[in-house]
Amino acid sequence: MNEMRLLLGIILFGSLWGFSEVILGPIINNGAIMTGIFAISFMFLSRMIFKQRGMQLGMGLIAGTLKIFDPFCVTCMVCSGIAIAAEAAIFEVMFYKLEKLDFSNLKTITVQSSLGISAAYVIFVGGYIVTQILTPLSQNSFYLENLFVKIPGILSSGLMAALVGSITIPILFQTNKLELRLKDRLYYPTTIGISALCWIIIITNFLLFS
Amino acid sequence: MGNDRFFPILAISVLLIGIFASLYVTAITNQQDIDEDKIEINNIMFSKTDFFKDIEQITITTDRGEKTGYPLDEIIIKSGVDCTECHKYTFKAIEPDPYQQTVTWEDIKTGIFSLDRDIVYFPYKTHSFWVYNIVEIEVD
Repeated sequence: MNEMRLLLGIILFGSLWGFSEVILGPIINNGAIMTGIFAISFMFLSRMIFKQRGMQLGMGLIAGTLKIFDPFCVTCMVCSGIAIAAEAAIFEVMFYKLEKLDFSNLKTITVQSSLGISAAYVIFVGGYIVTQILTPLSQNSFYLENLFVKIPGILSSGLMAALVGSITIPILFQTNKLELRLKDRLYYPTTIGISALCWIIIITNFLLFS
Repeated sequence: MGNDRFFPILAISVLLIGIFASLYVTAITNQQDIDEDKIEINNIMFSKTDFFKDIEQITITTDRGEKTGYPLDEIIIKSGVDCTECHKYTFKAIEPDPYQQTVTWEDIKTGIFSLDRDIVYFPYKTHSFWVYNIVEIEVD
């Protein structure tokens, strides 16, 4: 795998993920739906295209960095960014040992939907718990009993992410059959251009509304 | 175990966890007989109508505009807490699901309680500390 091609892939998917979190997040205003559609889509799609471990963590770090520029974020902004990176880390751990990194052996809709349910639920709940730890920690007000009280609500809210993930992943597997490929001549300017556009919109949005 | 069996089993497991958690939250929420005129402070049940009639409301500025409510420090003192600096204060809600946050006396001095949504506002803390539908203020 060409390292430059991979690096630009990380930047592209990370920027798109960050764009969805910062620009679409306040409109959708539901973390479970955000994870079930965008986080899951970008991580699975990039894994299917590049077949590289560690790439999704890099994407999460970029998306998390962009989340800091969210003018509508009502919690600790750095914590929200870290939570996004945590979602990526959970994905990496979940699928570290999966044979054939491209998921090509998952043929039936049942298995694909099951994958979507499992991944969306675990990633959303994990990210949510990280936020519930980091936000009070950042305010010097973290108490374990407060987290325990919240756990049933967090586990319950993961059902929405699971439901959305069960639809997202089978659709994603269908689009992957399209075999969309760009020649190197177009790949580099396209990825750089789209990434730069995401960053410009996010920073402009931050400057306008913060 | 192959992926064809592993992922469906994992999916059923997480769905069961989510469903049981939802049932638990629903049971906890329905179990509480909430009297909207009552609030428990430091293990004493107060009638909001009587408790707040002598306290003057103030307006504070937050990052979401101006908010009006009763000063938390006056509420705590009126409830009979001794040595206010010695304690931590936990604001508890059970709807839409069980939630609580703990703050110090320094935070209490800046915060207000609004009867509109039974919410506390702290101007210098993140919104996750703006607990709403409060049913109890626990003094530890």
